[in-house]
Amino acid sequence: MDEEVLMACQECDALQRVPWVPAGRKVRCRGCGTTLYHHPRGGLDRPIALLLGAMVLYVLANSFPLVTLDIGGASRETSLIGTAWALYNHDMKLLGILVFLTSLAVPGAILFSTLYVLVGLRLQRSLPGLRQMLALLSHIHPWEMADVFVISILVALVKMSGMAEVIIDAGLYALVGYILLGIAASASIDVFVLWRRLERIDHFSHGELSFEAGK
Amino acid sequence: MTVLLRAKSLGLASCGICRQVVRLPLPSATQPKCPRCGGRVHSRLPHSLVRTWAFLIASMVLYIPANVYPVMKNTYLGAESSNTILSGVALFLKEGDWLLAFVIFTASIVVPLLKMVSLLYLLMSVRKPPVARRARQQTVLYRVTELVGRWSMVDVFVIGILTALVQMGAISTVEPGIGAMAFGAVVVLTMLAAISFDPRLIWDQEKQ
Ligand SMILES: [Zn+2]
Ligand SMILES: [Zn+2]
Repeated sequence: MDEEVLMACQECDALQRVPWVPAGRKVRCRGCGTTLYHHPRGGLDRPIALLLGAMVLYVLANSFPLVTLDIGGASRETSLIGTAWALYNHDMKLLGILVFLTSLAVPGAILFSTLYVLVGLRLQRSLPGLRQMLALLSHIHPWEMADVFVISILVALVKMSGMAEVIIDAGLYALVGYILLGIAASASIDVFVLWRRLERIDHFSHGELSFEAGK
Repeated sequence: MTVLLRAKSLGLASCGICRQVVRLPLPSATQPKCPRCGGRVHSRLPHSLVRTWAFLIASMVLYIPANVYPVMKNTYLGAESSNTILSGVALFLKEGDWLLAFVIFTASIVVPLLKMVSLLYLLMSVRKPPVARRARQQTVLYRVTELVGRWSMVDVFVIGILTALVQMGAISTVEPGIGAMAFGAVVVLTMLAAISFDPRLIWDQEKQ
């Protein structure tokens, strides 16, 4: 394999021909040291398996309460949507929408569209909208904050623990599991490698068997 | 060591979405579309500096009400109290919750301020020709700034969770304050500022 790829670093614009490395290795920019791409181990099957697990846990995390608070016999529970809804209902509509998007909608959208893209590539098919979804993923990634939300729950619980009884519910365990699987999955995904796979599928489906790297 | 050429100096640009290297048309009347992903390819993000300045200044302005106004109003057995971000941290310290005080202080005060200062520094320094080692450090600084920004949302989420949980009628209630709204806007605006900044500008104007 002495295939090469022409890349320009996204952070310093240095143009360079880099080798197409085997799985498990990463390539750094010769100018600034940024990772240009990493070729994850485990092919497509590993992230698909991890994300399927994450999807089950995401559904569970949204089906059960996360925590319950008990003050003198009166108890209240909340969930991801419940937190957004509480802000929305207490005259903080925009803040409620922001919490809904960052803790629930964007993580869900990323999860489902990543799975769709991976399954499409695994089946060697350009499923409808696959290209757009892969492009969308690069844009919405910074707005995914489910992990920040979990830390926030812990902060809120410690704050409340002095004056009330705090019960951790099934939803929180599912949410933590979902985040851990999500971290493992994103470590086994590289967007540049996915685009190259997609390109290969397109070339084959158009009957062009020759593949020129970096042109 | 071979000398590295910048893609821009050869009339090439990397697609921001799929990283395909694309040749830019010389009179850049029309922005070329990427042959691989169909996205628009820019040699540098359009109006990067103006947009970063705009988001940054807006976030600095809103940072004032975010700290002056209460982020949370709490009633406990009839006694009412309201807290700003800083008085909330002070309360944790008074109660001996050092870890929580540290978490909230870092996420709500240190991170937003560091983001603003480092973006300000980057915006100032791109006007001067780069020195190789400093350009490298600035690139790292930018990457860190972009990565840590989302953690500022901790306070907004905590306020939301407490608002949802602590609604016990006469015993205790929590209401979000107007400061929380301003603080949420600060987090979003500093993130938009970081996203609008094109780190490749750090390396421009280099003497070849
Ligand atoms: Zn670089
Ligand atoms: Zn592209």
